[in-house]
Amino acid sequence: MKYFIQVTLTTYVASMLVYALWSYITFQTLDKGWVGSLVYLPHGCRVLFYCFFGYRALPALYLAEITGPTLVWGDQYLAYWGFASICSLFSVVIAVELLKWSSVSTFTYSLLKKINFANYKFLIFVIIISALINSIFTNLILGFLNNVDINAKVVARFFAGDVLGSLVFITWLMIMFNMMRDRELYPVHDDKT
Amino acid sequence: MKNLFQISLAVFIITFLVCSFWASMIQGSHTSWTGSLAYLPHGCKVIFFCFFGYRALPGLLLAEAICHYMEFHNNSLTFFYLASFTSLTSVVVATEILRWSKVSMNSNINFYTKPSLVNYKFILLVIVLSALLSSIFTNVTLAAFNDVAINVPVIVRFFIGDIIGALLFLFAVILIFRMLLIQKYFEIIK
Repeated sequence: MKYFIQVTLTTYVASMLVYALWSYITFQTLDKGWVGSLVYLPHGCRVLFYCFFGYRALPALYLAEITGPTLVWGDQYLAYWGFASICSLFSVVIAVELLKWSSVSTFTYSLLKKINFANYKFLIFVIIISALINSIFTNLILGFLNNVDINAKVVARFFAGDVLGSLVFITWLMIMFNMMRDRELYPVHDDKT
Repeated sequence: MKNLFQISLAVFIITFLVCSFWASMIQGSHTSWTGSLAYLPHGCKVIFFCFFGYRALPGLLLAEAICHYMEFHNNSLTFFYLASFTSLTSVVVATEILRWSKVSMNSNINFYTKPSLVNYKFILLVIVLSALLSSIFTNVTLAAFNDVAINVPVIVRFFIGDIIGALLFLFAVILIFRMLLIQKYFEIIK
C-alpha cells in the first residue's frame, strides 16, 4: 500500500509537471497550437511510468490526464476528453501486453545504462504500437462523442506527436539521470547483465 | 533470377485471384464499404512477404495495381494506386521492425504444423502492426494526394478490414495446405 501511494504520487506529480510544461509551450501561440501536438511529451509519461510501475501507475496517470487539461488551457480541448484519455492509457496497456506476450524483448533496461538498441527495443516498440493505437482510437472516440469529423491528417499528427514526444521525454530523462549519476548525487547498483 | 521469376509469377497469380474475388464480392454487396471490413489481399501481402521476402514485392504490387485498375477505374480518387504502394510499404516496415526485434525467433512458421499462438506469433504481430500502419498512412496519402477529407471511421474500417481479411486468408491457406497434405498430394521434407 505504501509503495502504491509512492508510485501514485510520483507518477501524478511528474505527469502534471510534464503536461504543464508542454501546454505552456504549445498554447503560447494559439493559432499555431497544433504544432505542439507534433511533440506530445505527456505520451512519454504514459509509456515510461506504465512500463516501470505497471498497473499501479494507471490511477495517477488517469488523474493527471483529466486534471491537466481541466486546470491548464481547458478551453483548448474537445468535450469528452476524459473518455478519450482512457483510450490513450489503454493503448499503452495493450501495446505492453502485446509485446510481453510476444516476448519481443525482456524488460531489463535502465535509464542509467549505456544507450543501445538492445536495451531500448521494448520501449521503442511500446512507443510505436501505442502511438498507432492511440492515434486511431482516441480520435474515433472524440469524433463519435462530439459528433465531429476528424480527418486522417489529424490522426497522423497524433501518431507523429506521440512518437516524437515520447522520444524527447525519454532522452531528456536519460540525460538527466546520467548527469546525476556522474555527479554522484545518488549511488547506483550496476548489474552486469 | 529463375527463383525470382517463379516467385513473382506465383505471387502475382494468387494475389490477382484473391483481389478479384474480393472485388467481385464488394460489388455484389448492398453497401460497397462493407467489403472493406474483410480486405483479403492484405493477407496475401503479409504471407507472401513473410515467406518470400523482397522477391515477392514486384508480383504483389503489380497484381494489386492491375486489379484495382480493372475493378475500380471509375473511382474518383486519381491517385488510388498509391494506396497499394503505401499499404505494401507498411507490411515491409512492420516485418522489418519485428525481424529486427527478433520476436518469436524460435517459432517455426509452417503451414503444416498445428496452428497455435506460439507458431503464429510472428505473422499475427505483422498483421496487427502492418494493419495499424497501413490504415493511417494509406489514408493520409490518399487524402493528401487527392485533396479529399478522409475521416477516422474510414481509418478504423481499414484497420479492421486488414486484420480480418488477413486472418481469413491465413486460415484459408492453412486449410488448403492441410487438406492437400492429408490427401497426400505432396510430402513434407523434414
